[in-house]
Amino acid sequence: MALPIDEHELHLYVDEHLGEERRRAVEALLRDRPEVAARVSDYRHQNELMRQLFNPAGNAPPTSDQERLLQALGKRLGRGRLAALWRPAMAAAAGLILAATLGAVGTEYYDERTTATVEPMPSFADTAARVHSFYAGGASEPTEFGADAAGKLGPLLDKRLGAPLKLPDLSQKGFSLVGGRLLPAVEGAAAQLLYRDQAGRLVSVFLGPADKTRLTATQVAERKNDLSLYAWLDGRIGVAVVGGLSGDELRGIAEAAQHSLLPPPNGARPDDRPNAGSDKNPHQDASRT
Amino acid sequence: MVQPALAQHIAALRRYARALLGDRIEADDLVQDCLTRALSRAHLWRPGTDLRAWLFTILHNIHINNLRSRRVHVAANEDLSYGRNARTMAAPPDQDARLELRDLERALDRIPDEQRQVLLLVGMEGMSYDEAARVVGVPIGTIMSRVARGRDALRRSMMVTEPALENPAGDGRVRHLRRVK
Repeated sequence: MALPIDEHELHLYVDEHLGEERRRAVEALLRDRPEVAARVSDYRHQNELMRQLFNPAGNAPPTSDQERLLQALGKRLGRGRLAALWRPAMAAAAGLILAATLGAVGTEYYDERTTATVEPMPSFADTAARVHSFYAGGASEPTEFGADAAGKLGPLLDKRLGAPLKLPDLSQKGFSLVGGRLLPAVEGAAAQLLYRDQAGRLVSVFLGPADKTRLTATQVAERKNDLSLYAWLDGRIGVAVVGGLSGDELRGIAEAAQHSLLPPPNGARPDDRPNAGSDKNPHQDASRT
Repeated sequence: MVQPALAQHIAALRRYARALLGDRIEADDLVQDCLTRALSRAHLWRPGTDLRAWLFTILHNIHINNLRSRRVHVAANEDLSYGRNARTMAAPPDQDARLELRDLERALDRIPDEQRQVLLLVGMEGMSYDEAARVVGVPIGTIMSRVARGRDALRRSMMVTEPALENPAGDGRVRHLRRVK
């Protein structure tokens, strides 16, 4: 016997969670120590009695309320990730004016048959602003993944966006990750990451495919509905940082986000090209949609 | 259409709730609250992850909240009989076996709720210690020590019967020290 058996291992043995080697070691001990063997036998018998005692309650027919909830839950869970992806669209159908923007994250796709002819598809930045307002505004659960699970968003996005990506670290600016969610885009998927500071202020980092013709490798600062927003193109991916903060403060956060993402082409940084305030800014057109 | 796995999990939830609370109606309410919350949070569940652990965690959290608010209630009313009363169980044919089950039930009544939770999750539901740790929200070392203490307490309680405590009705019956197997 290599190692002495400790008390915890005895319980792991009772519950059959030990690997082959340690299981044999425990069995050898039990042969030598009848008083320990008696305890193990009692513990196992306790498990058996608990099952005998309460199995009837588990197997009894559920109440009608439970049955109804069970059916509904089965449907919801069965739809799985698909449901998670399309929920925003369903919310929009209920009058929340969101579906069009979400469906149009990739603006390269434009179908005149299904779109009211006059309005342009919403811009990437516009979509980011709306997603932030919607989920940070308490209209729904703010996040789909908690902060601990949000780490998995990175690899998921890698696959869907076709580019390696890590989650931005905004801790220097006092914002920590609350969680995130995946959203459908015309091409692939987009993600919203939600950050919060000590004062409870919320900032979103929005990542997704962006129309290169409308979002070039520049940054945009906008103030609409008290939101500030910076957006830029990081390789093939659009990145937007949006929150109800002053433009200056948000710029600092956008820089921090940019630093922790892939280095942008030519080492461009938000303050290298501050928003020119150009009247050609395409996002102002889209803001009416 | 309810997935078979889900139906199994619900049976386990109902068994666990009943074992926790003793009372059928309270257990049904707890499971119903759990399902309601699970439905409202269905979008938070990620396919491919452990559905059972997710459901049990929801039920556990509701149970803990109920206990907290109940504790205040109990203090105000000096009603100390919360929850653990009026069990009904199918009577097994064998008298000794029936007594043994009743002994276990009473022994379970006497151990702290946190030990009872863990014993049920690990012993009755067959969860890994890691899974139980996630459901209860404590480190795995805490799970291990609760299992060890809970089992010893149950064992002592079932080996030694004190007539004065065991039969407050004074039916005079004295049970013998009994060793299982």
